[in-house]
Amino acid sequence: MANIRELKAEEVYRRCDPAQFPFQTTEELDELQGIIGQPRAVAAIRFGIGIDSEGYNIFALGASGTGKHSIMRQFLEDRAAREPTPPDWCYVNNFAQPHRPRALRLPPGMGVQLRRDMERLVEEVRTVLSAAFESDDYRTRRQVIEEEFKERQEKAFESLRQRARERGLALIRTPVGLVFAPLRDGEVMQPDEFQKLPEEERKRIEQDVEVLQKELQDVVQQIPRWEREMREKIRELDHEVANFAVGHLIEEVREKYKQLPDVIAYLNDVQQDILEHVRDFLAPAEQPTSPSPAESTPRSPAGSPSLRRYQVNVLVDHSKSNGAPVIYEDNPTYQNLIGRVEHIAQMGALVTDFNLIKPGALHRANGGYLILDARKVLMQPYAWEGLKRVLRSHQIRIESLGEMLSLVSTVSLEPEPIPIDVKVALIGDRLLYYLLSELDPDFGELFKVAADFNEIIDRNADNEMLYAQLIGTLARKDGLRPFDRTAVARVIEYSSRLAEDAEKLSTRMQSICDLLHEANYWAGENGHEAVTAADVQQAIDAQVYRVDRVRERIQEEILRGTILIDTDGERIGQINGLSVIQLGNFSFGRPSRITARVRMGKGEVINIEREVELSGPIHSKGVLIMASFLGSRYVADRPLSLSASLVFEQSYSGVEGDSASSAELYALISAIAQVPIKQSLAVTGSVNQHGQIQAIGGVNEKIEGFFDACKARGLTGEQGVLIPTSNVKHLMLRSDVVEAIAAGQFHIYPVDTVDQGIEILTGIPAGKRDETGQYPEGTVNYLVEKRLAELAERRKEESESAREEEE
Amino acid sequence: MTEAEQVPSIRRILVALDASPHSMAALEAAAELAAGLQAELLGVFVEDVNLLRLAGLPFAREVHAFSAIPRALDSQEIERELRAQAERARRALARAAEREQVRWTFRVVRGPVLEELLAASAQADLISLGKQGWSANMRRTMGSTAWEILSQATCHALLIQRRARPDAPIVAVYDGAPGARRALNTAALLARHRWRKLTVIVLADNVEEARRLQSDVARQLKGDELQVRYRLLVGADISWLIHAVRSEGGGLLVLSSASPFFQEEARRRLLNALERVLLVR
Repeated sequence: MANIRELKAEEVYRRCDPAQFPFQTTEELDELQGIIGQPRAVAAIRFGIGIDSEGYNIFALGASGTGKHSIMRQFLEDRAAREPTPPDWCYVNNFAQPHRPRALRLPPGMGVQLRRDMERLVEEVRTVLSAAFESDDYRTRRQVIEEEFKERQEKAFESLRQRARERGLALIRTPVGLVFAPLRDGEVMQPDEFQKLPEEERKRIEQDVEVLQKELQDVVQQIPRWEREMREKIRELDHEVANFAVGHLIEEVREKYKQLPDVIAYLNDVQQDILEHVRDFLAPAEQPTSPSPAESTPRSPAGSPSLRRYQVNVLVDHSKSNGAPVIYEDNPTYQNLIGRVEHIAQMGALVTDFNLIKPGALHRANGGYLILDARKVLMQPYAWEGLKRVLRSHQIRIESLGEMLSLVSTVSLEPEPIPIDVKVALIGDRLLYYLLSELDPDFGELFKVAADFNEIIDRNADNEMLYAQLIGTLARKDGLRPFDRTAVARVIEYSSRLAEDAEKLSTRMQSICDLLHEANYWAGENGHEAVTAADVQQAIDAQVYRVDRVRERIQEEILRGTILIDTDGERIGQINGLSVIQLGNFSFGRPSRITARVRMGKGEVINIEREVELSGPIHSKGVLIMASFLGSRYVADRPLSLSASLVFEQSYSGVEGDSASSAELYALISAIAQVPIKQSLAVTGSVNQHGQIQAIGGVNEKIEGFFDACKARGLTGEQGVLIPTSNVKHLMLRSDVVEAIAAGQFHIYPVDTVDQGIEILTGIPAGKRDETGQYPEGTVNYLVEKRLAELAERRKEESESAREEEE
Repeated sequence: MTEAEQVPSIRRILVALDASPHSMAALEAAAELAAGLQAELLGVFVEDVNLLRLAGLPFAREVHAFSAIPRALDSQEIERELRAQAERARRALARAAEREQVRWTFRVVRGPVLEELLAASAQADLISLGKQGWSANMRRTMGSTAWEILSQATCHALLIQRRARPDAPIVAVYDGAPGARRALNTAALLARHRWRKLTVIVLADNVEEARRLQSDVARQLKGDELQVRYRLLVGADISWLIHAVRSEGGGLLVLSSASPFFQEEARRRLLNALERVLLVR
């Protein structure tokens, strides 16, 4: 038993010595420059930002709280500030095809200017046009044209009337037409008078009327043509007057934008359109054609809705930007990414125009960077596909989802696509990254840079100092009290525990940050100027206390004997296993009783959990490995002739993981050899086919779980836990456990092999095969082998006698 | 104020309606006046007896004004058309009167248009006429019926081609004659009721007289809260006057029928040139 090793207190908790820090409080420390412990991710981000080739978008992957977001943002903003400000984008009316608004690209800040210039232009055009069209000059010229028309008409009628008069006839207007009638004394002849006229006279009158009527018809037929001619002349006049009035106004604007051929082309179209729609400007502004819907129409500053077509819809305005944009879209729906075309209900119909085109995050990020949460993008219908389409085609085409799916059919627009140059940074957890790589063939092509964020860093003196600086920086940034060096040391120890490794530190800044805030709170409660280790400890304890109701309940039931756990005495085929329960962010250990029974049988080890499907695959695997070890070690040349059953007592919800396989093996060995096991010990660790004990997770919680059960009943000084030696480096135990170990009240035994474990548990040597291949008598292995041999012998006899009976 | 200068109160306004665009303008103007003066509107529609007679003639063919298609006239058809027209006129009158909240009556008479209108005007204080009747598209100058009524009627006459802009001032012509005073007072009365601006064109042979007449007017209008503007024309002829009135923004011209500018050739030019004239007897 000389080879039993027990861990000392300093081995189960790696202290951080406050004396190593050359400062009293973090106030004395400089701001932390750079990022702790993410060299791989930082290199990837630098590369991803720097490279300017297709598909080099970035996916930042890592556990939540590792600072992916802030690091990404920091790098992008740093880079973006040194890049040129991208152009403004506007949508303007397409006068030739109004349903396909034109996109205009303008130097940064010019978009808003153009909008203002156009507003002013429309306002001025209205003023000058109404002045021009109300001027005497125009009126006179127009009157001349109208007079000419009237004169022409009048002449035609007058000559008709003249000839009629010569023949004693008059041209008379009826409600709907014109009639020739014979006159007598200035009045229309009475029918009976007419009848009294001589036949010849009547004939003559009728003939005259006939002839004149023909001529009248000709004249009446001419009138529409003359009218058309008149209107044409008036239109020409309008055009001439308007062109003169408006030309110089537009010329001024044109002069301002002469470097921009697109804008010039647009202004030319505007001029043409204004000249063709002069009347729109002359209509009084306060006279909407349909009163009720006009109220819902957004009134432009220029007034009448028909003048909306001269407005400029500034989609992206960089007048206040400095450098390239870095946009984070919190709610990346399809429409928030790609942009949308809104509609207005007018007289029960949905109408729209280019003024209702709204930009998406991609528009705003054009020429810069867009940060998105991968999970959010994937959760929004069509957003992921839309994003990929934009990245692939290098242009944003606004398409309505409703139309794409044929859900709505209403008047809509096809805005001219805008070319885009954007780098997208997706942020998500590892699982998403690997799933996307696996399942989406486009993903690899579009997101070629993976920035993998580490959750842990090495714990060494340099990193501890950096950590101290980080704590100082965070405290300063968030307006917390300074942390004294004991507090810093305690935070570093906590970080190690968080990393579940005494040789590492966690980079989950979210948890550290929470702890700092909470410790700051307690320091305030305790009236401390600077946060001390006691405050940090209080914060940790309070954190645990807030969430450990379930743990407390379990411990209570163990103490009361509802959950059967022995912490002293000896039992055959019974052992204390350890499991970890995770509830939200809090995990804790819980001892579980594992029992084994054996009898003669056909060599199977029955895992009762598995029989009832409460066993996970890894647990089942552990049991099979263990059974294989048992058979090959003790009865290599004979069939294993026992039937063993194993069970986790009082477990009702399934068992997973192989960390109990060593405990199960010990219980089985105890049952076979009929050697009692000390109940003051608990066991964790998995076992392989050669009987070596392998590392497991959650070692700290497991030890603490058993410690709590023992402590509640009173420590006997015998109690302890067997852990795999390879887990020793992970130990960062709670302070009360460490104290008990230091006082010799509690023991941690690192174990490498099954033999070591069985010796500690039974107090009997395990035994090694001697030269003859036999285990020494009185050792556990000897007993096991003997029992198995007996069973095999008995089974052989039984099967022989059974055969004899058959014969 | 002497008897001659007294403004006879305007209580009854006659509107000759034939549903033509000008007569609608005349109706609107009359309704507006009636509202201002709290007068009653009398609408009258004359079924032209000549038209009815025409239908009796065997050869009468009506040439449709818009399609140029001739078709036989029959008296029932004409009656129906006239009834429809009268109904339109009545409705327009009712609408205008309701809007301005004035009392109104409407009647249809049958006979020669001129005689019937003259007869009706004898019972009214003012007659409002469209400048041209239905034959507007056939002539540029004033309608013959309107012309005759202006010459023969004894009440005031309002001749309208188109409505005035709401902010146009009322324009009165003043030359010191008693008739001109009446015209001035009528103009002031209208301006008061409609809160309009008043422009007085003072006509005189020389500058001194013009100044004297202006102060004369100013005295008369004292106490009225009117925006008055003066234009002095010395030795003006009819074209000057027309130009002066037009440059005032096309407001209603109020003129005495005794004015020298309302005689013979001048009258013809004046009426043909202006769109709104109120003739004060």
